[in-house]
Amino acid sequence: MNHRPRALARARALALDGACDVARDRALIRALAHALTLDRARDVARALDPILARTCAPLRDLNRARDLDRAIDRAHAHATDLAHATDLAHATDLAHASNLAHAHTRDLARACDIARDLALGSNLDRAHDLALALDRAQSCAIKLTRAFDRARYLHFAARQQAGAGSSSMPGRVPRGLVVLATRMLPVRDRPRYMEEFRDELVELPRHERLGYALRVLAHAWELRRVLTGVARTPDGSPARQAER
Amino acid sequence: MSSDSGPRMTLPTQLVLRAMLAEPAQEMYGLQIGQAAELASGTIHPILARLEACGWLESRWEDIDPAKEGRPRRRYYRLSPDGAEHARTALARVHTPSALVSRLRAGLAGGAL
Repeated sequence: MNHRPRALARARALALDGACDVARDRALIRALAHALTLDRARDVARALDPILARTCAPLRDLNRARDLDRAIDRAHAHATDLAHATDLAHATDLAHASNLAHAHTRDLARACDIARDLALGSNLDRAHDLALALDRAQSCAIKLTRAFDRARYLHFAARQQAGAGSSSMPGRVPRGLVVLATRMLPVRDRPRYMEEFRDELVELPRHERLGYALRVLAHAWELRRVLTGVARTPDGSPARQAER
Repeated sequence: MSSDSGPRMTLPTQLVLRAMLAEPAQEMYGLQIGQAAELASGTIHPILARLEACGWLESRWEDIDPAKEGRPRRRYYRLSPDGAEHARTALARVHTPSALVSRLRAGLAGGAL
C-alpha cells in the first residue's frame, strides 16, 4: 500500500517536470519570436529611415518655397505701390508744369499786348524792343507748353503700356508699313487714315500688329481706288454717290 | 458700285453690313467692326470707305483728349438711317447660303482677302 503514493508522487513529479520543460520550450520560442520580431522591426525602421529623410527634405523645401513665395508677393506689392506712387508723382508734376506753362503763355500774351500798346502810343524804341522780346518769349513758351503736353501724352502712353501690355507704342516696322500704306492714298485723305491706322495699331495686341500693317498695305491700293472715285462735300468728307 | 444699287455686295461687304445691322444705332470703330464681322484686321477700310461714299455709313472722330486718354482718337462708324434700310434690302436681295458664309468666313478671318 505504501508503494502507491510514491508511484503517484513520482508520476506527478514526472508530469510536473514535463510541464516545466514544455513551459520552458514555449518561453524560449516566445523569446526567440520576440527577438525575431524586434530584429524585423529594427530592419523595417532602418529601411524607413532614408524614406523618412527623403520625405522630410521636400517638406522643408516646400516650407522654404512657401516662405519665398510670400516674400516675392510682398516684394511685388511693394514694387506696384512704388510704381503707382512714382506714376502719380510724375503725372502730378507734369500736370503742374503744364499748367504753369499755360499760365506763363497767357501772361506773356498779355504783356505783349501791353508792350504793343506802349509802342503804338508813345512810339518808343525800347517799348518796341520789349514787344519783340516778349514775342520771342511767347513763342518759346508755346513750344514749352507743347513739349509738356507731349511729355504728358508719352507718360500716359508709357503707363498704359506697363499696365495693359497691348496699348504700347507700335514697333518701327508696323509703323513704317502703315506710313507707306498712307502715302499710297490721296493727299487729302492721308491725315485721317494715318490717325485711324495708328489708333488701331496701338489698340491691337503686339503680336497682331505686323499682320495688321501688312494687310493695310495690301489693301491700300483698293482703298485709294475707292477714295479717288469719291465726290467730296465742301468740308472734305465723302459725299453720297446719289448726290454726285 | 453704282448709285442705283449701292456698293457691290461682296461677301466681306455683306459680313460688315450684317455686323453693323446687329446693332444699327451703335457706333463702332474699325477693329470692332472687323471683330464683329469676323474679318481680319486691316482689311475692312476699303469696304468702310465704299459704304461711306454711298452714304450708307457715317463716321466721326472720337471726342477725347489723346493726352489724357493715352491713345490716339478712334474713328467711329455708324449706319445712317437710310443706310440701314438700304443695307437690309440689299442683304435680303443677296441670297448667300449660310453654309457658304461660314465656310468662307474662316478664310476671310485669316486675312485671305
